[in-house]
Amino acid sequence: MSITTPKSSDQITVGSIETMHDETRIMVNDLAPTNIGRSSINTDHLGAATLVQEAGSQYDLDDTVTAEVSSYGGSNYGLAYPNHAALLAEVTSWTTVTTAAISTTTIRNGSPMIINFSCNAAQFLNSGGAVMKTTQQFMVWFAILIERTITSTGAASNLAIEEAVVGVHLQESIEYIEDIPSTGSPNVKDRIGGVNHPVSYTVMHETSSSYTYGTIKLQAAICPCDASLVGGASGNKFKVQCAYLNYIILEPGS
Amino acid sequence: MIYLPKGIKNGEVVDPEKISRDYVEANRIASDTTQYQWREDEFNDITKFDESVCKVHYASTVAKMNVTIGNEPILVSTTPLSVPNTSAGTSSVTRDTNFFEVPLNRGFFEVPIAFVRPDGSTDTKITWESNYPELVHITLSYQYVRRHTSNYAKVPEDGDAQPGDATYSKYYKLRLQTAIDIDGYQIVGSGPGGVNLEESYRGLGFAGRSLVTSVNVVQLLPAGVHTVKAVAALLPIQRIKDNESNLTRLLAQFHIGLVPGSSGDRWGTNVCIGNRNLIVARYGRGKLLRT
Repeated sequence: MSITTPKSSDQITVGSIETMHDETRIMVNDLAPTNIGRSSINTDHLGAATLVQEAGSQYDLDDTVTAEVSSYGGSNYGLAYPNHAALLAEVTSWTTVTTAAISTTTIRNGSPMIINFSCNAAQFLNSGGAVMKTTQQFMVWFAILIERTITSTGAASNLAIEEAVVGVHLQESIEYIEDIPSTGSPNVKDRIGGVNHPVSYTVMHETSSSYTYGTIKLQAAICPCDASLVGGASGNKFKVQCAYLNYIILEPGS
Repeated sequence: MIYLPKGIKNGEVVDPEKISRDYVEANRIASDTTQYQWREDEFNDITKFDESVCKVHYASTVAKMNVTIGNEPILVSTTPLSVPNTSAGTSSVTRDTNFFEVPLNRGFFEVPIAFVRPDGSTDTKITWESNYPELVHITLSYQYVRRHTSNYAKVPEDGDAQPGDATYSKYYKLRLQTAIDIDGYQIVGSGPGGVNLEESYRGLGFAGRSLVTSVNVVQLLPAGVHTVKAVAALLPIQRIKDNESNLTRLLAQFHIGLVPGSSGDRWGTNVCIGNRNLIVARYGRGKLLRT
């Protein structure tokens, strides 16, 4: 938009001054996005504004998981849970691998909270803590637990994110064949040692302003997934190494 | 570029063009502002930004495995449909129908993930329309699980371990490939898998029994309509030695997963993607690449 200006030979009138004034006023008071030059707005102008309300991480380099997935019966359902309350009770009883605290208590409604965890499902241990031969039907399970309260009442209202309940088996091959040249007979040997199964998972939770968020926990449990292992396998443990729990809470954008 | 009004000096003849300079200059600066027109911390409140600065879409599907102590995951067709209970009996459970059984040797198939659009309509993939170029961060997470290899069909020689070979190494192997698909293109490196590196036609895939993983892709996308989805494939199961001859590469074995003269599950049965989710974070950009 250009300004209508009088020429040097023109007579200056109230109207010509008013025209220039009005056209300039209209331009300055209604800046369109196209009036903003590239790179005009940079970090100096953003102040405290950020797309990220909060982010954090926590880690545990070496942790032993002793909890087991529950047997089905009584008030326990294991991972055959009928509703969220049963899943929450199950996951809450598991071993906490690591905990990340959320310090921002006033998270805006509808904010994307993206949570990621990764770890190394490292070793299978007996009740005494010694590394033992893996068992094919053993699984180690992980879950994300969000501890929060209802802001208006202060009552606990924790959340187990259902799609974040995931598990991996131990090694599929638990034996190998050792050749013994002196006898000419092969020998079956047990695989003992690290499982070293890498695990990584990412989920999103949409926050609600009705809650005050406290912590995010990475929970884990082992499970003998075969009837022959029930009872006898009790007390087995699992070592989780290099567990990282990260979260980022973005501004609500959609 | 700072606005500095020149005005008319004391005693100067009033020239219309000199008077108009200040208006023209003000107009010029307002038409193309620079960083000098904006105060420090001018935008210290995120609410001053249009919501198109960052938009996040989330699609997720839950496929419950009904695992408890004493039973392995209940998948697409595993039996029994019950779990052992603490009374030394069994209790019935409901099979989850949300598992995606990955087709064997059929190439990549879409893995449906439930997505609810802002208007309430639903889809199995994430789609959106953008008027601006965007930097898009896509995260795909999923649970992969199948039965133990020994449950699947095998030929008698599979059990004949030789020195140096584990029994397991002689079994056929299921290998999973997954990828993030953007607008019909599978992004290289966005999941386990790869093209063949030798004479084998098979390609590369994940051969383990279960997997919990996250895959991230960052992509600059132009304005327009875009679709992001997850895809998965199961590679052929033949052992390496079969590659030297077509004699054992029977159609049933190759496409259906049946091994003639053997017992066990058809290969590809109960090879599943369970829980999965897809996150798309879109960051608006004024141009595709900074120069």
